[in-house]
Amino acid sequence: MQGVTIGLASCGIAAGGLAVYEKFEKLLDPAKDKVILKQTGCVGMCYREPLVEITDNGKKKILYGEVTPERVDRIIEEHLRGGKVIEEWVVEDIDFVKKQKRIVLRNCGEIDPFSLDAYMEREGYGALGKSVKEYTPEQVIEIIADSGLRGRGGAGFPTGTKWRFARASKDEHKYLICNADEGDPGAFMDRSVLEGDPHSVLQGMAIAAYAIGADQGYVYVRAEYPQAVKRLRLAIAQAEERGFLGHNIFGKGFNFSIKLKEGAGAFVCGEETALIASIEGKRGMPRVRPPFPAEAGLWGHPTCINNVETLANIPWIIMNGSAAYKVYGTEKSKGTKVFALAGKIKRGGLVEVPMGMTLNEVIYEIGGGTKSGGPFKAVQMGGPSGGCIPSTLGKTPIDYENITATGAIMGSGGMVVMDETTCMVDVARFFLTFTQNESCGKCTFCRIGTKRMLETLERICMGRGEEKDLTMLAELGEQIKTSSLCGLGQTAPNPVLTTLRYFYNEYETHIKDKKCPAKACLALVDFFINPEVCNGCGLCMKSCDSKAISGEKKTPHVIDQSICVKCGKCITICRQSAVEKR
Amino acid sequence: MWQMHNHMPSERCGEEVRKMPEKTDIERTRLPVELKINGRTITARPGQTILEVVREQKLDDIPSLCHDPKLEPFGSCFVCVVEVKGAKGFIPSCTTRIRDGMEVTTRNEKIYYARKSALELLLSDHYADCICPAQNNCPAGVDVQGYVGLAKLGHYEEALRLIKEKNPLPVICGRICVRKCELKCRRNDVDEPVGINYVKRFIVEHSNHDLIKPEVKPPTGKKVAIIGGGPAGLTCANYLALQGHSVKIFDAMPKLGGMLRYGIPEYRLPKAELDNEIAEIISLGVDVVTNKKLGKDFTLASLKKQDKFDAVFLSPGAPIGSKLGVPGEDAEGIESALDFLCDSVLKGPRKLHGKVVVVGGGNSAIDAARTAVRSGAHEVTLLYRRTRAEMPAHHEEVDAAEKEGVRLEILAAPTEVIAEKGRLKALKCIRMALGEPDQSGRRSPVPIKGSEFEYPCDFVFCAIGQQTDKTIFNVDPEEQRPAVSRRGTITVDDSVMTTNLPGVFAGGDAVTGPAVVIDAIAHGRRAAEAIHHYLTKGKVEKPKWTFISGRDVFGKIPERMYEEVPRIPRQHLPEREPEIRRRDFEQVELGLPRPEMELEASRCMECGCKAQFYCDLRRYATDYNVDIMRLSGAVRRHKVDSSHPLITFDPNKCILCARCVRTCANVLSQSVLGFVERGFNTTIKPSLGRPLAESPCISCGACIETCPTGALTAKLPYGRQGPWKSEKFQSVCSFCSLGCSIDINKVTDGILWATSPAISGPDEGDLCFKGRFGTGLIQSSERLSKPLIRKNNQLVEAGWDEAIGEAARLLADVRDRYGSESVAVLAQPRMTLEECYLAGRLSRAALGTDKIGTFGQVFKGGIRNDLDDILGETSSTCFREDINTADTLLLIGADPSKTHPVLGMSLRRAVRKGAKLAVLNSSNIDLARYSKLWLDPRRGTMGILLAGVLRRLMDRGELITESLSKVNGEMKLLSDSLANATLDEVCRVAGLDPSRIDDLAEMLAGGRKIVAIYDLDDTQERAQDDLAILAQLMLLTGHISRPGSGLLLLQSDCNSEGARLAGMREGVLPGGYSISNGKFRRKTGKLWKADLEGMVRENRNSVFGKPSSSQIRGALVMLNDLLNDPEARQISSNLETLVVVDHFLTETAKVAQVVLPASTPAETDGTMVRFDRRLGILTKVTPPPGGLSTAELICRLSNELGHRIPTSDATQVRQEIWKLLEITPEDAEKARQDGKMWPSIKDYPKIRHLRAVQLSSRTMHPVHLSYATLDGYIQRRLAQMGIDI
Repeated sequence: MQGVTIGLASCGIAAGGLAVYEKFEKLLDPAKDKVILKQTGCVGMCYREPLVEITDNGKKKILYGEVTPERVDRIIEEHLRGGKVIEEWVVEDIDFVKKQKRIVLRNCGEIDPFSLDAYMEREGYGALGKSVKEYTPEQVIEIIADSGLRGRGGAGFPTGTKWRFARASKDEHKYLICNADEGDPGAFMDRSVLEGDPHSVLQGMAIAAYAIGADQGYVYVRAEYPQAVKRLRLAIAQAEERGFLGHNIFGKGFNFSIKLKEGAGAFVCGEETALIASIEGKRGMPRVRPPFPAEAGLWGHPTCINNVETLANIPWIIMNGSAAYKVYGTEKSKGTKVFALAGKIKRGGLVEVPMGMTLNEVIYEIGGGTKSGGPFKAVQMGGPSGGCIPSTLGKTPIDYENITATGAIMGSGGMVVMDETTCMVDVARFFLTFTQNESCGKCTFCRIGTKRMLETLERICMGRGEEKDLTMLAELGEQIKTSSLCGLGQTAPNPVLTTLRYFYNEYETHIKDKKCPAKACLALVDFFINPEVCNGCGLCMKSCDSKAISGEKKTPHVIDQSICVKCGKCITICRQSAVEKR
Repeated sequence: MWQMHNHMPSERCGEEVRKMPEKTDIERTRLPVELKINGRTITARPGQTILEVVREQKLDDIPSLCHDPKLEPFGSCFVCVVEVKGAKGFIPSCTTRIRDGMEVTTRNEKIYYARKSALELLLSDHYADCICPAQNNCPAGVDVQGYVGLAKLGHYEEALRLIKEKNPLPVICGRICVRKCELKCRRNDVDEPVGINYVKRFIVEHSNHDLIKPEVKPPTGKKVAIIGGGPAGLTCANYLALQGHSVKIFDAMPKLGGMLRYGIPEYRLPKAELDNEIAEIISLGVDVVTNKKLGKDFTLASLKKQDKFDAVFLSPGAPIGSKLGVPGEDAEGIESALDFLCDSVLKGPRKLHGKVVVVGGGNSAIDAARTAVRSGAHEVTLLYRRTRAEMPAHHEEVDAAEKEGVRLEILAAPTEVIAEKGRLKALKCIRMALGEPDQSGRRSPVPIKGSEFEYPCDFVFCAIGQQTDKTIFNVDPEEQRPAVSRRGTITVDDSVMTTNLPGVFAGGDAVTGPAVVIDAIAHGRRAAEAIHHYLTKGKVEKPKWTFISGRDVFGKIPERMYEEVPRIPRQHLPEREPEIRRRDFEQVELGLPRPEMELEASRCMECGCKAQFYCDLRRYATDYNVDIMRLSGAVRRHKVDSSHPLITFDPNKCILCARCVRTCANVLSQSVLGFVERGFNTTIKPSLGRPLAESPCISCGACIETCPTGALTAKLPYGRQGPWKSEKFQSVCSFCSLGCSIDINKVTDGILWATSPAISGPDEGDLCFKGRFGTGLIQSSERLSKPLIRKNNQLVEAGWDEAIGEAARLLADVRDRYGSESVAVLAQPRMTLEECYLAGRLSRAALGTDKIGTFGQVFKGGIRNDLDDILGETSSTCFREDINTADTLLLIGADPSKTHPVLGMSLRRAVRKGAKLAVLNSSNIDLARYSKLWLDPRRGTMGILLAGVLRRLMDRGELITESLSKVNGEMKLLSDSLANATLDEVCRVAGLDPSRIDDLAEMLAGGRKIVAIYDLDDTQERAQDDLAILAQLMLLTGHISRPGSGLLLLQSDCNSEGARLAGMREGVLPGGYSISNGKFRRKTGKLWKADLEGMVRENRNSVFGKPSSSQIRGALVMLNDLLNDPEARQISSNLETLVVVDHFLTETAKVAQVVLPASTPAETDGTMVRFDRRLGILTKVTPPPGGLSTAELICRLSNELGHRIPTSDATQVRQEIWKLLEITPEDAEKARQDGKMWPSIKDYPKIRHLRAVQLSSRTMHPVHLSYATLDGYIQRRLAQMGIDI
């Protein structure tokens, strides 16, 4: 019996995986082919999607990358029916896999997320059973505390301690919320876990609920994750049907049910108190703490909020014990961390590495370095709340303390790699635009202060910056950090402050020389045709919408700077690479 | 049928709602916290925030914008930041709760800078004007918007007073000011500037200056010499004299006025007007010495040494005309325009002839040219080297000169004077062209070579500049001279007008060179302030800088901001015809007539912020020296939402502190406003971004009260919004029996509005629509102001004497003909305690009738005395604020959200704090949404329901019977009467589920604090014996005598309790004594000097009888619109005489023989007794429109009837009441001042009796008790807004 498994997480679907699946479905002949067609979540190699895995009698596994519907015919003919591996399509990125340790992603890309049976076969709700039957809630908390697991949502608060607080609150009702409001641009860890392994998250929630004494859970998930929502909904129904959720779980009198709440896409709703407000039907707006949610959260009851990745760790820790978990990581940061590797990187995708691995290792060894092959210039960690770490700090081990020391934050796991074509002022501007738009508008400094910083950055990118702007950015940035109620405002200036710290020269060049070293700020670059290289083919002239290019056939063409709008079409179209930015 | 409604306001997304956690007492019982603030060890209550502690203990003035003590901490503005040892960065003090050992710093440079930055950020997106640009541009800073508004409303004296705060020469300015204000008036962007000066001239010409004579402070003994009696000197003298300093003006000329007198011709500024204005200043006690010149008759040194002046103000002006500086200038026939003008004043108009040339383009040049025309010159030419557009003279003046025949010769300048025998023959001139703009921005003239020409003429007057007289300091070589500039002007520090010499100040033209009057006035005032400081504090202080936000700093105002401004052309001053006026020196411009002035004033767009006097943002911006430009960037320009008839919402001024949002949602549970959008674009708007008028706003105005800026402001009902500074008067709202404390703000008689009290009492500062906006009623144009008498079946105006005489005659006539029982007094308890008492005395002592009562008593369900036999009196037994601490609130029949809205707010707030509310009402009233339990018995079964509950409590053994030994027998009667009130029977009759009655019984059981609220005047839900059962239920469960528990009885009229106390009830004398109580009756009779013996009756209740069949032939009806009520109307059929006292011409008043205008509570001193028997003090804020207060007219009527009431003075009347009731005036007055309950409840309520009750499902008298006349105005305004109350 052969198996064909197609990666149909959002990354696979985006790359065209559905068409591949349908093609297999259409061409495979049940009579002729003894093939089981399956789908699975993200295996991590998003850069090679759509991925198709062929198993022969459950033994040998072959992974094909970049499978198009056209390639399906040949795979069926040659491999499935002919038994011959098509070597040139096989994915053998050993380096990508070798250094990773998959705990959170243990089931992602391995099982069919729509099937509880598949989950039961591989892992099942054993950890929940074990917790409920063998441990008291206090013991469960002890195990988690001992494992050293810290919240993966960004702040890194020890999960065991958080549960202890929630447990200590005396109230007949408590809530457990799974925070799946993953909003950082470029981050997709939680989405992949929810899409690829929803039951692990649900099981983690149930164990957490048992530990703290909650009887009602919520998954607060972004509505922009339709696949995750779909799979979660199904998984909840399946778990309820089998009695893993609901009344009297495992016959031990433990009741816990889970509701799904779709968020409307406000970034700030990732903040605990804003998230609670949102579930309550109010505007997603952070409020003053204390009282902390653990004392008075949702509807005024004690509430524990854990991130998707944190919860996905739980069943593994319960099953394997805290000692096994502690093997990985550094002194203060235990276990593994999932990163969404993106940007100018060769092998972009989802990776899970033990804490303590250096940035260089992740970027060069797992990610394969930059696309251009040159050294990376900086890596942006922690999304809009994070910062840019320069390549000179490439040896920084990844753990909460060390990353924070650089001025960036661990965050939820976004890791955007930048090379020499990335302008750091522009990057700061990009992230600040995001946070400014996503500010809930409550605090003065976050609402107006970030706007003023953004305006200044925009001016600098336009070549209208002044030297005093840099002092103003630094000053205002610090003020915003210390004068905002929630994490959004407290971290919003980070991208600016870290780039100012590590790439001050780049700012200065923009201001003093009115130049953008990365040639990314269009106001500061001009497009030229190199007469040495141009062969006068006329392609650029035809493509130019502004009619800024002129020239006789077979003689070098010229761009009229007064007309050029710097759209960049000519650069893309020129086969000689004769168009340059200066 | 039963319904349980457990609503939480956040239940919007359909989630199941769970019980809120029970409130614990942990916070209350915890030990005090000890912490350090600014190094000082402080003890404070746990749970308090840093801000609360600092403010409560007055440790520092921490600014805060988003904090409102009534709301939960929010923490958004970050203006209140402090430093806490060990914490990173700045900590918002409003959200941070204190902890033991905390070390807080509230003041240092870093904190100052952080707060300043927060304010600068807020103000960088604050597209608003603090004050109007016209005021901002006035050198003297006169409140232009304020006085233009007052003028529009006809308050001319008040307007003049406002002008004179900054400018003591309004008559002069009203005619000749150059109007820098008009230059910057925003109306320029729409069409033409407002004719501000026309309005000012109207004000000064139409107001009685004697009425606003300012008070001069007691003499300080300090002497100030003022050198020069021009506008600067006069202004300085004015303000110094007001401060009590002894001021002496020295002037070199024969009369005061300086340039105003000797430079400005009669036709522009009549000397008589000038003299009057100067006389007003002199009348403040200013000494004047004329014809004495500094440097000649005295010196600076002599002033100080010999005359012992403590300070000197130099304002000698610039009286020397500049010379042309061309050859031949000494010829006869050439002189300075100034000399020419001055001579014309001193010696009378000159006789000129031939051709006259005036050189120059300023106002003096025009004055000289126009004077020359009037002095007989054949031809007058104005020679000016630039073009007309560059002329410094006011363009209207240039126009006027041209109309009078003055010829303009522009772009030409004199180069030489051609003389013959030493006498002028011609002026040689050269043509000019305009070159590059110079420093002043004007294009400088350049001579065109070879363009010389000769202009034959007989006189040349030069008006090309003026200089100070340099001789004034030259006399005494010993003397220290003030420093002067190269131009010869005295050098001063512009902000305080100090010279380099101590005690010597200077201002006016001598400092600036020739300038305009308003600059000199500004100098004079600034100097007066500095001199005052110098004299009283020994040093000069710089004036406090005040932050001013202005739209102009954000660039040109887009046209769309003016889209809705109606275009109205500017009015023009009428002028005398040029042909006539050029022959004399009579004034040229005549003032605007009133309609035109009002139209002109109404063109004012009122740019200045209505909150300018109290805005916190502005105050802090001032304190923190905010630089509005430092963090400037994009600014949002919103349209102002003026849709709501009572509230203006200007999002431009909103700082998103969300106090309105939170107040509306949390305090009022209304949620009209909310946040919209995100990031920089976040705004606060009504839901769905609709205008406020289309929102579910209940117009309570609480948002206005909490707004720290001018984003939410109240609309005044006058058409003009001011703003004006006002005086606050403590008062009590008189629109329902709650008697909420209010502040009445008064600008002047006729401009009043109410706000929440500065010191909030038991009502916590809440106000409803009626309290906040109802004051408009006082100024309603429909108010009666003259007494009316029926003549030939028509009501015609009459004098008070005649009307009161007629009323007395008619009432006495009926009494004499039909007996005293035929006359009745019907008075509504909207009157004060004192008025009620006087009405009672009038009725019994003057008319001899005991037939006195209120509308409700007589016509609507009789007197509510249900509890008299049980508790001794039918009154509330606990306090209003007991609601705040009660565990269970029981609302029976009442619907406070509608009838007593502020109580509705209190109840909702109590529920939010954890109290449990049970609503017993057949209708789904608003408060049912907030209740833990809502029982809806069938109408008319309330008594049965309560009986069922009482029975249930009895069965459960919850009654406290042991202390009731005295009433044991009655207890048996009561329980026997409840025999039928079995659970099943009650539920069958009332239509309720038995378990719900158990739920209610459960809520009432145990030792909880319970407050039961019952509306005596609600007749919809009322059922037989319900109040008696309720009272006995409360009594038997111990809740009448337990502190914090009890009954609250609502009533519709504000002073129902007061009426009871005053004896405004048939058969009952003041203090609640029955008239059959012989001792008290005789005592009263003795005090009143009246015989009350004939009034004792066997059966009290039958005295009034059925109104329809009663023998009443004459009635005095006060504040009752009887005939508006079908039942009450029947009384009129037998009436021969009807005398009405009311605010309006009601239906009843229309058929009366005599109508007397009543005063409102704002128009009289007096006392109100609130529904919980607390006393409220009324203050007379404004005189009654008819001139006579209700108390006065009662007394006069009584006197006229032959019974002399010695006084109508509220205090004395009150003393009479206290005397009658044997209460020491001291005790009573103290109780009154403290707002305490009176009479004392030391041993009240006594449990007198229990009584059997009737179980009947008969509804009682289902009528609607109208909130009639007084609220008619309010109701109409509500109806206009589409709000149904």
